[in-house]
Amino acid sequence: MQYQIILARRHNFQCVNAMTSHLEQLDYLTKEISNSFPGNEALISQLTTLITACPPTFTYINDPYTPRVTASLVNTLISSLSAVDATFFDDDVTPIIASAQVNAIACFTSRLFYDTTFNCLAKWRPRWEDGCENWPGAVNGLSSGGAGLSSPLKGGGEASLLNTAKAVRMVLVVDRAERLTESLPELLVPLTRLAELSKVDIHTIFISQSPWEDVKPSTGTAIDPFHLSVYPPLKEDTLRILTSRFPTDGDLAAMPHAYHPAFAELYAQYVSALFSTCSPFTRDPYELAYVAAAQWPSFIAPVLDAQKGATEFHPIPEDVRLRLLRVFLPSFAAALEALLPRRMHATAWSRMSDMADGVRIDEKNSEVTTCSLTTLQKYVLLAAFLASSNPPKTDARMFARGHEMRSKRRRGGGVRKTPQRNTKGALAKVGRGSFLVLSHHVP
Amino acid sequence: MSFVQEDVDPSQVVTLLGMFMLFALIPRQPVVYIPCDETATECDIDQLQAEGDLSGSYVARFNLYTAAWRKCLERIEHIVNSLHAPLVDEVVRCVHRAYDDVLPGLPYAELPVIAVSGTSTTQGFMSTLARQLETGQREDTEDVDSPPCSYITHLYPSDCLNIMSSMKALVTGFVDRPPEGQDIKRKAATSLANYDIELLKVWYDVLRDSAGLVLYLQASDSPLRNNVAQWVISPYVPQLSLVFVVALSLPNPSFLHATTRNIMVGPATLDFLADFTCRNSSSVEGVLLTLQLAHLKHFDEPLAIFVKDELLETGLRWGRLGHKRRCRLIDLYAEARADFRSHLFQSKLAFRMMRKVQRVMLDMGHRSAEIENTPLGMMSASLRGELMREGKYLGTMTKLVVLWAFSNQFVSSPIILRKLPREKLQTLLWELRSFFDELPGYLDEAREAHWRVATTVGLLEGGEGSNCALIAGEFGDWLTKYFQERIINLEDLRLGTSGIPARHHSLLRSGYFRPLSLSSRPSLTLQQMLNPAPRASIVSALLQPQTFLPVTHGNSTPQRLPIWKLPDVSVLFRRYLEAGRMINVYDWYESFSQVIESQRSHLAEDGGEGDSLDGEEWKMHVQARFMRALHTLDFIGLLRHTGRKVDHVMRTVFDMPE
Repeated sequence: MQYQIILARRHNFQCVNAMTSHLEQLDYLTKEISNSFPGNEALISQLTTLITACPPTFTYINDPYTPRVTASLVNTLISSLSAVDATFFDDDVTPIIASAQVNAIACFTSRLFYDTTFNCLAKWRPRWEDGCENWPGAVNGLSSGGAGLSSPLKGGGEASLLNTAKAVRMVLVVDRAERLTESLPELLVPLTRLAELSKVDIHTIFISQSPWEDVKPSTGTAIDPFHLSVYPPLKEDTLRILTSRFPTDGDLAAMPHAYHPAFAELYAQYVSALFSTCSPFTRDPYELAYVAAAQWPSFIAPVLDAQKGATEFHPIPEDVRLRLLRVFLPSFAAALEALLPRRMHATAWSRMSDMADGVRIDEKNSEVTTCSLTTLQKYVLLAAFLASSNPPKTDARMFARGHEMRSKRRRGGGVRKTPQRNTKGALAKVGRGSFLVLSHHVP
Repeated sequence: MSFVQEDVDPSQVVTLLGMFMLFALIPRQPVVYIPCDETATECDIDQLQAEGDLSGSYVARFNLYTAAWRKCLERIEHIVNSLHAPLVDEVVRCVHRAYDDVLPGLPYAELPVIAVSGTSTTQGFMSTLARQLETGQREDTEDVDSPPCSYITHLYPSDCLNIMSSMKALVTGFVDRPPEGQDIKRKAATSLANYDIELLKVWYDVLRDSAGLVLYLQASDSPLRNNVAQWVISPYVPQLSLVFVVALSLPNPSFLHATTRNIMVGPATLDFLADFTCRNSSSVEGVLLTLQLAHLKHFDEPLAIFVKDELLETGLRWGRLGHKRRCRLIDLYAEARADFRSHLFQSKLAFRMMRKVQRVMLDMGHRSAEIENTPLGMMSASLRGELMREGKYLGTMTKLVVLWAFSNQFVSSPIILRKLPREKLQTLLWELRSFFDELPGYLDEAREAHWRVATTVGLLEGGEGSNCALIAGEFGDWLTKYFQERIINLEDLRLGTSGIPARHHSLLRSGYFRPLSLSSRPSLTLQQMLNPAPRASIVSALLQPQTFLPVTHGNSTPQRLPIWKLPDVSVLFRRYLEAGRMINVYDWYESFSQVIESQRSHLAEDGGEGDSLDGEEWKMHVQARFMRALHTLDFIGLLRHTGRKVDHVMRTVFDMPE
């Protein structure tokens, strides 16, 4: 008897304890993720609350600016939420979370979509030795259509119960959801109403660059989502992300090298200068990080030269830093120009000695290419360019076949006047730009 | 007339790829010499066949062609491989290091893609690359660990119709090779789909770290080239060490690795090649095709049978030619061939010496040694014997090297005055000597020149105080004379003079064969073979049959024959051209029969035996001829049947190129 009371007390105590510690854990988790994704605190806490408390069945995250960052943020969040061991908290409030994140572009057939989703939700890893079997629970529901999702989902829910009687909450995240309309249009509506159709606790989240109005099927069969919008990252947040990505190994005792921890401060200044040059064109932290990574080796090269032979690191005076930044400012723009459209890749850019050469090398390359063309190829190129300014009517006249052509041929009659047009204007309308490369090389 | 020498005497081959390996001297290689000269004497096949029946020589000539072409192919393959080697090494290095030196600090892992562009980037190059990668030879030999062998999968345009098919080809290409014998039977319905990249990952997890994956993409517009690769494959990249190698040009069918070949080309073929490569296509395959056609063309000529003695002995029916005479003929041919070969070798040697002297002069900074012609052009000119002026000029330059050295150094000490010209002359001589040293010693033809160079070097080095201007002068004179004597038009050679019939002689004296034109009968030029115009040639054959048919009436063939002299098809075609868009068959027949009537009366006038057909029979005769001509035109595709009008056919050719 005594023993039972003690047990009951202990149980109560544990419940309270569990509650607090679960919330604490969530708080801690939120903070941690916020640290790695600065500027998204609001979104993170909102999502955490929604998923752990009482989620709407369908959430739509619209992020026109940095979808890649958001996707990885959501991925981190849900996977750490599902990693929380809910069985430890012996209450009914804390759900077990099973999650899956699929990319609507990568899953280009419904089978891929199902396989990925079920394997992910059930935390099933196919193994070569087992003949790469999928999660066995999914077999029944693979038949077709969105409704087919429901039965394996139920099964999935039950299977994931393990030994406890706790509820399992499933979260399904679809990246690049705007592409669903092209790749898997038949799944769009069922996905939005998944909880309703399957009658299990499942929460669907779409992450998309487009607003819901563009994705929404016109039939009105989809339910309206709970909207979340992501705003463009602020300067400080972007800088924090960039600075935090300095790839240093943290070994202060090492000989000076490009990623020596002592350069972290200089890197922060460098990133800030880079940001001020590039921000009018892109604010995507990933793109900026790409440019920064490509440009850094040549930026740090003069500093390393100065440190050459030194056994330990000498701090760099402030005026030297400023001078360095001033010298390199024009090259930032050149780097952006070459790297943002990926006319070069970062590794190639980082190997170039003189940044300003980038454009010149590019021109030289195109010149070499032109020189290696044979005469016939040059003429074909030229003809294609000239023909590109033909009005569509000319094309039709040249390439249209048979009937149409014959009907236009009239017999007799004098010379018909073609309606006078402002030829210059017309040409300017259809014409392309100038064609510099060829002009030198066609004999 | 052709010339293939086998294993008898040192001889050499000028590769068609003279641009890369100018006059490579390779001993004990057969010579196939393919010059072309429009002005050369006609080879009269009929006359030769009258002399000795060579009608059974087709198979023999085909065998000869195969042998010659195989040698040519081998040689070219060797050259092409050595040209590709640095690039192949580079690509292999890139592939091996794709995941080793990644730039730190990138926001996400990038899928390494190596693009290989250029018109000659064809299957040949790719298969060399694949072979090298699969053997797993790593450049850095200090790597003690067993080198990672790469799994390679080829993706062809036919695999890349859409995302699914390309992904399927990609995944199954790798997965179908089970790792270390762990072949697992997968159930299609319950396991991962065979286009699922996850499957590749699972497969790769088994291999882990033991291999790199290489994907060859030969499709220029594969879905994998666009965003799909970015979304489907990129997320797996750091775990899956996959490298893309993309060929930016379309894969041309290549014989280069299918079969294996050796050639020396004549001036006209050289010119044609140079023109062809800079104008139309600069791919190796294009050059190969041209050469193969030149070979084929050459062995098309019956006289090409004289390339080998043995064949003359066996495979042929010699008609009424007696054994004794036959042997004598063969001896004569052999003699003439040896003579020609010697001259050819001398010519090539002189040409190489000339190039050497020119290069040394240029290296010394004498800009005036530049010759306007391209190397290929020079080669062609040398075979025509047109390098007289250049030879003389270089000889004179050698003479004057000493004098120029003086004039350039007008403010200098007496030591330099004495040393500089000597050094220059010495450089030149040393270069020449090392060139001769590299030649095999048994080359008789090279002996004289070699001796001369060696003596001059000895003279210069031996006598310290000797007058180097004098030595230079003598050597220069000798060079001039040497060039003039050796670089001659091989067509003008007089070889094995007696005994060979005059008409053979014209062919034999140079051992030439003419791939580009055979003037005695209508023949296609290389240009026409490569880029045929069937429509134009059919129409012109119909319009002017006399240029295509063997000459029967007299020698002179007027530009336009009277209509009754034409063959039936041409008559019908003339009338066809005069008709409107649709032709009434009956009217056509009427006008045709008129022509035939006039033909009949003309023939009767000429005193030929007039046919004895009476009215009805004659009518049948004409009708039959008409039907046959009509069907011929129909067969060629010049008629279109139409249901619109009874008894009418439609024209298919309207504008006439006249």
